Formats: sequence, structure tokens, C-alpha cells
Amino acid sequence: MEKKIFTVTEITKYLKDILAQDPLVNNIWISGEISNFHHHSSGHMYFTLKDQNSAISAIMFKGYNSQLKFQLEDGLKVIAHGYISIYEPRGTYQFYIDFMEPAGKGALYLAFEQLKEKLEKEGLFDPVHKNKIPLLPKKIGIVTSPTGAAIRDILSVIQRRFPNISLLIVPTLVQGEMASEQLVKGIEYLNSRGDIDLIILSRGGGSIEDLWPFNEENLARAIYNSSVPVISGIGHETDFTIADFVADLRAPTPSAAAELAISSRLELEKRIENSRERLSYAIGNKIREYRKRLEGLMERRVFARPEELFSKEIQQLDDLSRRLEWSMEKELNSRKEEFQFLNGKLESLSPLKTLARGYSISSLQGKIIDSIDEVEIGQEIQIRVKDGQIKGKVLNKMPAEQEF
Amino acid sequence: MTEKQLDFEEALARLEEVVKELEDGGLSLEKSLELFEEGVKLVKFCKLELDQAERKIEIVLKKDEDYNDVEIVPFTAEEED
Repeated sequence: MEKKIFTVTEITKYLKDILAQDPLVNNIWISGEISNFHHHSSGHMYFTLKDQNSAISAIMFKGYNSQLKFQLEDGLKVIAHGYISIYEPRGTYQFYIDFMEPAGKGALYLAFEQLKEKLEKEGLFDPVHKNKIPLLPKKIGIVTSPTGAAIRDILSVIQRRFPNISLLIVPTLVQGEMASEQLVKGIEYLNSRGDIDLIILSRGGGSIEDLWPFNEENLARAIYNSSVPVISGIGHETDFTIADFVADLRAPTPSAAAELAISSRLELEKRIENSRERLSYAIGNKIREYRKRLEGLMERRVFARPEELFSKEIQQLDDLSRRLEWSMEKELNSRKEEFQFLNGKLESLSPLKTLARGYSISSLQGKIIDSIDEVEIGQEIQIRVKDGQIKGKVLNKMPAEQEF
Repeated sequence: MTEKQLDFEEALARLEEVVKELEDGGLSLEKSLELFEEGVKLVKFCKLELDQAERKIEIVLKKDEDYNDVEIVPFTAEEED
């Protein structure tokens, strides 16, 4: 048997043709786990699909992978559709993928989870970025379908709660490929106007596919970048969209969005009225309080019986004068006694008593003579006796030792 | 009047603050009357703001995708389904 020698190219092409003719490998679903994922700058995606025992190289061209709602990453279990062929320059066979979805959960669900995680990491849902909803918006912009249930619900709630308010509707598609871009432009337009102080972004209920525009990244960023506060009211209570997470306030339904957007006029009026009543009452209280203080002062004794103001002093004065009288009397009495005592004493010592006993007192010019040296012979002296005076003349004088 | 520069929300907040301050008491009669007067002005202002809002429902008709040329017209129920 003659040897048939192939070139590398020939045999590669031969094998490639065999594969190309096989109906199975040209229209095949393969499940596996992504590894060695690489998103090339050309836009094509290169990775390996593997399971416990085997691996296969895979490629997903830009034209196909741009349709993916979710992000590919290592470890992700997927189900992919495509065909298997040989890449001649390297002689390897490859799985050329044209469609892929996550294994287990749906692609949209996964895309939602992935975008949510990504934006959350970026801080788009962070409460610090939330704008405050104004209490009394002057003009509200509503981005929604002009024909849907949402706008009807919103208008009916506003009519009920606050009839005199200004609304501007920005009509957009709310489902389908074009919707998210229109919603973005609507929000941007309302921001550019400068007279809108609140935006309601709304849509009635629907399937996850219907609500999908509200899960798009461009809308999330437009809401985040809106300087006018945005309230989202999308779908039913159980529906959560990415837009809800980024919005400054999430309402469970369009009606609820309207309710959150405008405080009930009645409630605001009640609040004002309540304040007005409390104001009157408080100032009334204040005045009553002062009047009471004034009345209290007027009732005080000073004003009621002013004489009592000095009653204490009067009493004190009385007391003092009484004490003064008493002490003067006492003093007087004690002096009287002293006088009587001294008087008695004086009486007993009086020379008159001595005179009565026969003694006399001689004096010269009123001065009692008690020595011979005090008189001169010839001088006139007075001699006092019991019953009168005798005038005499000094005839002689002699000392005691020469007494007559 | 300084109250004119406030917006409704600030005025309402200030009003409630004034009421509280007045209720807490401990103020002089003069200060109390001053606060009372301010409160009365705020009440008037808030009521006026509530009534000033205008009922108007309009819709934007855009001539191009980028809103470079728009027309604002009244929104009527006839446009609903």
C-alpha cells in the first residue's frame, strides 16, 4: 500500500470538513463552567468551557456577545449554543458560540443581579447620594407612557390629594429596546428645564422582560446623575428594578409614587392649623401667666395693706421705747435708794448732831479753824453752837501744852 | 419680609420650631410676643404658598429625540386608551 502523505494543512482541512458535515456538532447545546475568561480588545470573548473531566476552547464573537444581558465571568455555569470547528493555525478544535444563557436561573435574572452588584459597589445606591424629596413641589415632571395605567393612577391620586399642582408629562416608551434611552433623555430634559423640582419615573406592572428598560445601566446612571430628585414607581409592589435602587425614593407602585411625591394638601393644612392653634394657646398662656403674676403681686400685703409694711418696725419702736422707759425708771429708783441711803449716812455724820451735844465750831471768814496758827490775835471769828452763832474776838492763843 | 426668601418647607419647619420655643416657655414677655408675631407671619406665608400652587397638567411634544425642539400642550384625558 502506497503511503499517502498529507501536509498539515491538508489533514487539518480534512478533519475540519468531517466536522463540518456532522449535523450534531454544527448545531449543538453544551453546558459547562466558564474558565480562563478573556474579553479581548477586539470585542471577541475567549474562554474555556469545562466540567469535571474535560475542557473545550470556546469563542464568542463580538456580534453575538453584545447581545448578552449578563456578564461572563470565571466559574459561571452556562448553557451555550453553537458549532464546533477547527482553528487551523493552531490545529485546535473550538466551540463557536452564538447564544448563551446562565444555567439554572434566567439570563435576565442573572443580568439583574450582576448589574445590581456592580452599581452597588460603585455606590450608586448609597443613601448619602439620595436627594431630599421636597415637601411642596411646585412642578412635578412625570416620565412615563402617556397612555398607560401608570399615568392614570398618578393623576387620580394627585387630583385627590392636591388638586392645584403643576404637572409636566414627558411621554416615553416604557418597554422594548428603545425604552431605556428614551427614559434617560426624558430625565435629562426635565433636569435641563430648571423649573422642575421633582421627577416621577413610572410604569405599570409587567413581566421581567417588560420591565427590563428599568434595569438598564444607562437609566440607572441617568437617575443617579439627576440633580432633580427622582421617585420611582415601577410595576407592582413585588417588582424591584435597578431604577428603584438608584432612585432617591422608591415607591412600590405608580399610585404610591404620586402619594409620596405630594403630601396631602389636607395634611399640610392640618399641620399649619395645628401650629397656629398652639401658637395662640402658647401666647395666651404666656399672657395668662403674666397676668397671674401681676395679680399675685397686687394681692401681696404691701399693696393690699401698706401699713403692714412697717408694722414690724412700729412694733420694734414700741418695744424699744418701752424698754427705755423701764430702764429709766429702774435707774431712777436705784438712784433714789442710793440717795436715801447716803442721806441717812450723811445725817448721822452731820456736825449739827455734835453741836447738839455741846460742841461748837469756830470759823474765820467761813473757814473752819482747827489750829491756833490759823488766827491772829484781834481777829473776829464766828462760833457756831447748837442754836445759833456767836461773834467773838481772839484775845489770846496758846499751844495745847500751855493750856489754861 | 425675610419669610419671602424661605420656601414652604423651611417656613413650615421654622413655624414648628417657633411654636415649640414658645411652648417651652422661660422667655421674656417681649421675646414671646416677638416669636408669636413671627409665627403668625409664617402661618400666613405657608397658607399662601399652599394656595399659590397652580393646577396645570401638560405634556411635552418633542419634535426630535434630543428635546431640542419641544412644544408643551395641555394634557387631556382623551389621549388615554
